Amino acid sequence: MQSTIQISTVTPVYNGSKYLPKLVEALDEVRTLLNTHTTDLALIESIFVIDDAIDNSAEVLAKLAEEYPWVKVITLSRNYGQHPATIAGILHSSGDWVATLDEDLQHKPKDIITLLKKAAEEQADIAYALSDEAVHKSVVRDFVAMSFKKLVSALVGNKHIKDFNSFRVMRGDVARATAAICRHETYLDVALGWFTRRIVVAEVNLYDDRNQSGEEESGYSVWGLIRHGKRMIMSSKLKVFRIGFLIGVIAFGISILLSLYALLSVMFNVDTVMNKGWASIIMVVIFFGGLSILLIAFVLESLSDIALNLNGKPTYFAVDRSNDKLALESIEKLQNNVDL
Amino acid sequence: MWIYNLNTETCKPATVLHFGSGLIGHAIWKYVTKLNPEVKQSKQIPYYWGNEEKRFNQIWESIFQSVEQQNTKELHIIWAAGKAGFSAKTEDTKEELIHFRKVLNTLDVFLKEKEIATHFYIMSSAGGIHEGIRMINNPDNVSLKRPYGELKYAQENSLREAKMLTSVSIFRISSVYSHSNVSGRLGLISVLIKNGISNKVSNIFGAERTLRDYVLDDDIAKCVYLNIIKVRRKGVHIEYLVDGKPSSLNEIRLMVEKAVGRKLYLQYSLQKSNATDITFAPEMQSPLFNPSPLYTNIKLLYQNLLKGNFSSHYG
Repeated sequence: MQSTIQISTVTPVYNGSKYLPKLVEALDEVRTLLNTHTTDLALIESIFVIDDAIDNSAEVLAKLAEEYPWVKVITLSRNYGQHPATIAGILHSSGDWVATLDEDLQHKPKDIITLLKKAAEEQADIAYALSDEAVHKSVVRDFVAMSFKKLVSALVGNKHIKDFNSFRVMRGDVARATAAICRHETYLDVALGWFTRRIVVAEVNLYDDRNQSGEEESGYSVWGLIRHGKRMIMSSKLKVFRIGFLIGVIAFGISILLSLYALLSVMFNVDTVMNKGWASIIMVVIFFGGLSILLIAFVLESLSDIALNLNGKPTYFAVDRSNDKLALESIEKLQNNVDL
Repeated sequence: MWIYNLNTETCKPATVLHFGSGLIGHAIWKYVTKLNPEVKQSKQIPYYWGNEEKRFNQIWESIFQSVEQQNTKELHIIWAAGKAGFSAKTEDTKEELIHFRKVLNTLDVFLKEKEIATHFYIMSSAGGIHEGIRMINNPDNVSLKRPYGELKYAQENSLREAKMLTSVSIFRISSVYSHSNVSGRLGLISVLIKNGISNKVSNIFGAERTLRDYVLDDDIAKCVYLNIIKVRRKGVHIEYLVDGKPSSLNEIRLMVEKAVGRKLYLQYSLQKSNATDITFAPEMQSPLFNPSPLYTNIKLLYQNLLKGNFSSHYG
């Protein structure tokens, strides 16, 4: 009998051959837990997207797929990047919920249940993992990452940017609809925000064990961070357009008021200005300056709207949250029987 | 229906009885004649779909006469026939099942004491047999929710009991779309493109998020042809002609809009029975089935529709 609520996982793969067998084992444990202790929840598939991996991940996954029939492998024709690979995986999924997690065991599959519980509790559509301690135990790295996110968040006016994490659980319909409209430069999490505002975070342990064991870290450089930020900004509407618009309106308004003041001064012979012609010049400058800023802001806003429209931002999207209560009850029952 | 000869790997020539000139039947015919142009000379025989005894017997006598004239050791029967659609009522499906069983009984009588290896290929419906199930990975996980599904399953069971057949290949096919306009029946994707070009509203029975598995009729035709030419085995075999990649109506809509270059006007009819997901595990896909990419086909279909290039209907 099919479970009512089905979960798919998606993992982009680039350099994970060392970790994939353990990851699949951990996913199998979650699968067995759900099968044994619940009737309404099941992990039906784990989709691995090989993004032109630089090691022998393909061979490792081929063997794992033979051993575990619920493991599916998609091979991309070249390296497209983490987000496009995730999008490809999501578009091949059928689950009511889709969990994305990294290949390197930084994200523990059991925490999918924690994230799903949080989403179901609050009838949210996305639950991001929030680390309960510093991920890399490197003060500088963690500080830079957090500061960068805050800066971009302020620039685009999206308060969820600081929550973005590649370990997420998303409602399947929302995930697939978002994936369907994403282009090659669209930032997946920004696009997810076009479909829902019901975004929550759940604390889980994301400590990067590899630092302790002296293993390689996954590649993240300053340049990578900047590229990341650029994609986030290009997928969003810049708050500065609104600020520019406001400045333009204010300047324009001030120029009108000053013009009136100057006109009245001349009419009633009020001698407030020492240099003749100064008032006229400053009025003209503020008037046309304000008008220019206003028009530029209009144009930029319009271009931004067109870009978002081209990027696929929807007019509306409908979801079905009727099974959230059932999901929550199933998880609570599981947690009562098993120490996760 | 058509009667023609084909050279298979085990018999040159083998005789083929080809029933059905709808979407899939026509696609198979197109593919066969593309690779075997001499088959185009075969006359199409008007077939009697009713159950009136005298007429039924007459048509089958003439069919068997033609088969005997070919003097073949191998007979292949393609059953891509059927009037009942997904929303058919019980009365319609009942008549169709009666007819199908009569055909099998008649074949049984004809094939008695004849040394003709007979292989039967039936186009069944994966969606009708597994309606409402996601990630189908077991052929026995059956869910019959409408008369159409019951008809298809009953036909399959009738074939399982037909001991006179050397082999039975049951092709369970998911949602079909086509480059052709056959019998005036267009699939969902063709309707969306056609209406998109002419700025008309398309009525969709399902929800935006409904997941289905889409396969092209030409890909089905190629797989069936390869099975006829190459595959020799005994007994009953189920082949799934599915893509293995689920696509939501939303995704289809976006692909069509991208190909057509304009927004589609859609009206969704949310009858719950039509809004259920039906998806398949990729490993269910038949080894000889090689589905072509959906978006490429949508673009091709759009180009064809613009040029007014519908394949001519040979029926």
